[in-house]
Amino acid sequence: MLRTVVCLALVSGCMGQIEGGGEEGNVIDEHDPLMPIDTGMKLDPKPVPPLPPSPAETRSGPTAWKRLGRVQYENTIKELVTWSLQASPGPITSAMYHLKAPLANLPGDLRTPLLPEPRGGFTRLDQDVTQEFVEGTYGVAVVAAAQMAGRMDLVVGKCANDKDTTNDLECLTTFIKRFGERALRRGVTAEDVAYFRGLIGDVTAMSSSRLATLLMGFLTAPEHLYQLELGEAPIAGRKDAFTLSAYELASRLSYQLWNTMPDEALFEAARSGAVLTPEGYRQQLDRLLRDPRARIATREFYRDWLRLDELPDLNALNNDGVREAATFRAFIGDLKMGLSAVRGAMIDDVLAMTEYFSFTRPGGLKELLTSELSFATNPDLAHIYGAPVWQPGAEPPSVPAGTRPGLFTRGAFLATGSLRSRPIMKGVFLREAVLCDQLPPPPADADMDTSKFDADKLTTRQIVETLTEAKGTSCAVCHANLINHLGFPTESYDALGRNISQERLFANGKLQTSLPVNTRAVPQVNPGDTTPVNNASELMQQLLRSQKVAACLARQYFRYTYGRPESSRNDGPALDRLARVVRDGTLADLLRETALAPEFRQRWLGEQEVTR
Amino acid sequence: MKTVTINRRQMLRGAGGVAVGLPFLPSLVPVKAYAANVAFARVPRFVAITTEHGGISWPNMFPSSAALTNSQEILPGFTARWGALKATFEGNDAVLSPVLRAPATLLTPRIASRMNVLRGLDIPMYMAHQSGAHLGNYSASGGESQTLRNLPTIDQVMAYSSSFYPTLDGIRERVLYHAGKYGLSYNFSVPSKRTGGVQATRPVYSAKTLFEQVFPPPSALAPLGTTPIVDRVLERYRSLRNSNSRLSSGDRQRLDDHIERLADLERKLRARSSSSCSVTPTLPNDGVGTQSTRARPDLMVKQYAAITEVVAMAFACGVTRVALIGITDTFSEAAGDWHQDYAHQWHIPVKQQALAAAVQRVFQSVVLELARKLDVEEAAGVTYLDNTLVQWTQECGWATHDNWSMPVVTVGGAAGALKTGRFCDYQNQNPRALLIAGAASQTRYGGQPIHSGLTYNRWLGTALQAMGVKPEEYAQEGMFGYAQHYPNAKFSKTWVPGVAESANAPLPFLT
Repeated sequence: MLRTVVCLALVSGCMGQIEGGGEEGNVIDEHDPLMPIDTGMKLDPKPVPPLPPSPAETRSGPTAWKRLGRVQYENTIKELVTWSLQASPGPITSAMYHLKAPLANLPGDLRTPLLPEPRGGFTRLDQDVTQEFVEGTYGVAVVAAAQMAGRMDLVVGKCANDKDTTNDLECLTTFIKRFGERALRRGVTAEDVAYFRGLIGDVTAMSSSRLATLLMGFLTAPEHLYQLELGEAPIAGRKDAFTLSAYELASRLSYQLWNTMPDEALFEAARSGAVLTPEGYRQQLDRLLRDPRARIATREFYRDWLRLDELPDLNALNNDGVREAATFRAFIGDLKMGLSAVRGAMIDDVLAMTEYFSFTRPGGLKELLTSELSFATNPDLAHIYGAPVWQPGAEPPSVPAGTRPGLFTRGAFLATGSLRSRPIMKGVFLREAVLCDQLPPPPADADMDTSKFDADKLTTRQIVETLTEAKGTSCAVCHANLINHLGFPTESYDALGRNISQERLFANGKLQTSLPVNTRAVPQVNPGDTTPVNNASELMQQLLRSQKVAACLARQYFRYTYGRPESSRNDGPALDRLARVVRDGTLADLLRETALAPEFRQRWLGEQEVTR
Repeated sequence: MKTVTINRRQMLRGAGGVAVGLPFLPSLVPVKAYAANVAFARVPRFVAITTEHGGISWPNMFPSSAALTNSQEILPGFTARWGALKATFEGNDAVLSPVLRAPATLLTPRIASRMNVLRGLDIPMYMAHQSGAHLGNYSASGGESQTLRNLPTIDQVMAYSSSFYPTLDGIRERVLYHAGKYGLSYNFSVPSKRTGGVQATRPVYSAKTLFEQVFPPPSALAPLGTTPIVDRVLERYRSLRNSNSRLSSGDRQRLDDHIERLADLERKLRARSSSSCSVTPTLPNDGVGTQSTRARPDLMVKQYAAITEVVAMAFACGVTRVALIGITDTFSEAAGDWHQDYAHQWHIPVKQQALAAAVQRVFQSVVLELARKLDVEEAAGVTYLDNTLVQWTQECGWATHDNWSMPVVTVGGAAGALKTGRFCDYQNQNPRALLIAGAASQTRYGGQPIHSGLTYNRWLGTALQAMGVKPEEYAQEGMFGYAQHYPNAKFSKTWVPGVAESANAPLPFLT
């Protein structure tokens, strides 16, 4: 069964690149409002009073403190509770049990795109302060405070509930300073002590309910829920940038690399000021990078950048009540564990590879784009790859030589959950996410009529070419030049990511025919470059040579790090520096050099922002 | 503060009844349940139900044009038509159109008389796929609309309108919002001041969560009551906000956002103590459990029955007055890629049939099911449905990516603000307004000529005004009707003078 494809070509972005692009392929007459609008689109002449900013505008402008993301907040509250209960297993188990429900009620972060890449983005860019976030964190705070307050002896110390009331004030003050440093992630001032002491009134009558109120004050504070940065010293010659304080830098580093609050060693480095020294900072940076938490947190970047959550449900058609599920099962063959498990394994496979080249055996783009190592822990996926099952912790096995070069030949980028591959979507992904090129939205008449030819006797590539590359159509401009040919070289893998030389076409529960696949393409990695490639391996080489991938990866990691789009006026040097790191170094270098960059240790207020 | 008392019989019929699997039967309602409570005679409520894709042909979607027995020049050179909605009967079904059909026990003459079916409401630009346009944020869409400004959606305009919500006593949620994904509802980050960026509000994804939003379990509320420090926390945020610290305007905005949300939390914590239901409603059991609903329209029907149940209970208990139900489920037995394999193949007869069948299930099991549950007497001779405007819209028109003649189906009397029982076609019958004809029409629309009509903005403005929201509460956005006015040239050249400007008035034939 043919999958109709969405024509992604349109108007301004691509239309200008062809000559003689007439109306031949259009199906509607001159009155038709469907057709892309050229220069005729104008605002109604009536005056339009000011409106809120467009999405593009709302994403730029002044920088703001980052809200803790869903994962960051959960990690933070768990670590804080664990620390305050002094690692006592029983109370911690109880607290975690009680926290489970309120934590589950927290809203998830949305992978939020930036306009240059409308289908991409990062969950870290979701900085909306929603009602659900405020209520959710409040609900967590209530439970966490109650759990900690129930063990006043552990949390505050014996001075809190002994019979001697003369030490209560000192006891409480000491606690506020100690707990406050952790919860607020900064040094506690006398003003803070007075405020938090004021929350509970009579300090000589300490009770668990009063302690809960005090803890609630900490757990709902802006310093707790946001990465609150004020900066310390102005940067010479600038009114819009400041060095970060020791605590601010420690927090920024910790949330960047661990997705959680600083640990005791990092707090100590902040306390002593060591983190502000070059040597002290490098020591902490290297220590954090060696910690397993850095591996987990870095996965988030790759998961978002590579849009791994978009991998479709591979098992959907098994339940299809309309089409013949038997046909799909004939296509699948004899996988042992089922497609649901394969989907998860495909995502893990990609993340494990990026982790391997970031931490285990640092490698660069060359390794990422050409490696034949397999990280398939699932027997079915390993079978698809023709490799042994990988045991995490062991050295990864290799796929058969020449069959699967690099990251983008892995199942997560090839599987579709259907009987057909999707060269268009493969091309769109590479063009947007990996090359950082911008594509225009699809035109109005993107629904393609497949009834005019016998799609069941054509390869997927032939269908795509027929539908989207007809000469003179608006579709062809983008599809023939910028999209399809980035997807065609990997047509040597089917919709489950299996190596094929013949595309097998199924119907009525059985194989109908097989047709040779064609992987030759002119991918135009750099638009206008007509150098052809013959297969996926040559495409990877062309991607590698272009240096666009290096620049794009640098740009993506920059957005992930700073939670904002890059500013052409302010961020150019930083982006250039990072691109060089990616081009000449390893993925590990990208993480390290980003944290070592001067701008990482500064607070920039944003364009047109100066201190008051 | 008003108090609504749900008596035991109602609870058995409503919330409690669902718990044991009984349907919500209006026939069991005490006829004069709220007869003595005149305060409830006019409490407008709004429900938006949305379906993705669209691509339903006019012959499938709309009643026959023969029903359009009245025509009227509504502007110089602009003639529109309307007629009465009259169902025919096929077997056990009442039929308005292939999509608008249901068992006659559900699509009763009484319900049909409370419906409107609207055609010829155009979003006059190329938008393709959209989610925010249903309720007025055209920016949250594709095509040309990506250059537009983000705007709050009308549900949020109502939510923060003092005309719509003169008091928030007893209101747990200003808007009850269930959807398969976000993107239907938008508002400023500081809604009460209409400042900050416009951002998507977040839906909940299950009937259980929806229920607990408006009927939180006591166990969830108890700890909150022991720590009444929201006011102190608020003060700390305000203090930081107004300090002379080194804050960027973005930082201040962030604090403003948080302060706004904390204030609403404080309001809700107080609202719980003035709960307007004397009996705790019961969580509906959708009978789905952990089963996958993919390709199981029977399970989808059950799932949405629970959702409409929560909405009906919430309205009855006065804990909200706005509900959004964003349907992303296909209501089909097809498990594959509905978007590519069906919506974008709308022109292939077998696919059109599947699309229409799916949407018909939505009409029957969500729209009519909700109407049935709301058709319970609220005051003397007035049901909740009479006081409610249920709006059902689809992502696209006849063809997927069409943004004109967006089908709008309504149920309910909008607290008396709207006439009902009508099929209205707002296409301008004047030849000048011809958008598509000839070969183009033959190729895509079976030869049906298509005219431009009135703007969808006008419908959104009509809905707002029907809910009692005054134009001055939203008109400062500089729009005609509601939503940004941004016609492309190919549309506006088919317009007669006044099409845009008249959009601030309610739609003809409905008032």
